[in-house]
Amino acid sequence: MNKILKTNLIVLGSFAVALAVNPAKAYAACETNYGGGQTCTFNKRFDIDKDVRIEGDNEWNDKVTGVKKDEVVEFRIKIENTGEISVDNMEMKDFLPDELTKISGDLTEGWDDFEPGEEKEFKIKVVVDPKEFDKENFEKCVVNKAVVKFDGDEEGSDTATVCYGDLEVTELPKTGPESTLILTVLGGLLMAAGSVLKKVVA
Amino acid sequence: MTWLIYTITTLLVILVLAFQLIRPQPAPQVKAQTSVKSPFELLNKKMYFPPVRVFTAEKNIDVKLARVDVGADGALQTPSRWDTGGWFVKSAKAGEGGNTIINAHYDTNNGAPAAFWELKSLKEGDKVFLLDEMGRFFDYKVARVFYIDINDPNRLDILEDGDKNGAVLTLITCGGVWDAVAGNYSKRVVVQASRI
Repeated sequence: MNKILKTNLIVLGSFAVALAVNPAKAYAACETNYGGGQTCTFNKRFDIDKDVRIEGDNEWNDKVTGVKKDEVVEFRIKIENTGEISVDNMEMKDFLPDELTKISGDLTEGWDDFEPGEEKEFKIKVVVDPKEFDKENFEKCVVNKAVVKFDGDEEGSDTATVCYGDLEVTELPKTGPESTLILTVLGGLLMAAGSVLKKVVA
Repeated sequence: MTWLIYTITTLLVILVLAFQLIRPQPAPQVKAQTSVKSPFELLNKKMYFPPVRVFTAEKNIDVKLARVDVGADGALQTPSRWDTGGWFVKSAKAGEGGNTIINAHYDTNNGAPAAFWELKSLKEGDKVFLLDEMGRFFDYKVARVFYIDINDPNRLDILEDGDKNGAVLTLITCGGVWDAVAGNYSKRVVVQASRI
């Protein structure tokens, strides 16, 4: 048996043993090197996107405001395998703030065989704790975070914000200019130019 | 020759099976069950969605909508862009019973016309349309155009929910005289329209 074949067999054997000992690891893409040995690229990458909407709405956003008592709020967590390898031992963990009460969905999900390009979607429905509305004339925002883990290590996270309260409108909207600085400066310049012209003519 | 017989037989079997599948079946006898709700009944439940665009037939108003809420100072927020309107998230959705409230800027910091510059020229009977997130149009007819003073004690009445059985659209922008010291217009132009 020649040397190159022996080396290759040893490398492949070691790789097989490593996989058998720790099956949770991602499968790396390996290439045989010229002259013996292998180069394995361990290229894993995940995208996580968390959105929120009030039940009944069509659009998903990063933030919802004006959530009322007993109104159902939906979170959507999308995780995509944007790497080049299939992975096992994936986990999604959602950190629900104390102010929100879960009514459906799971805060922790685990799965295997996550193929490149594959996307997982999880939905969690919550309501704001009714006790939160005992206060008067208030608005409060809470942030809900979700993380994606591979083999126990955090690989990414995203947040969505829920604002609720009973703030009432006490003033009409200010629908005019927000600043008239430009007009004031222009007016001043015109006045200055006018007085200069007046002096020149005189 | 044998293969030809096999092919023809197979095609005949497929044709007979296909005919069995597509021929009209006799209606099954169903006992009346009044207590069970049809799925179509559930689908018929009216659903409303936030408006994403407001436009008029007669006047030059065609404005995309963002969402606005109550600001920390208690004022109804205005949209961050001059060319965009703001739908109040706590008001009725497009076509829904109650009061759908939309406001937009009248002019910009440079004095140029903003999204609702032409609101003042709407007249009673003019048509206003709302487009919702699902691409559905809702038609409204202007019932009233009026000015309200920013210090009028009843000024907030225009933001009230109104009758849930009737869909009302309230459009608001600035009007009256610009008060440079207060940084505010003295009045608001209010257009109230009813769904037709």
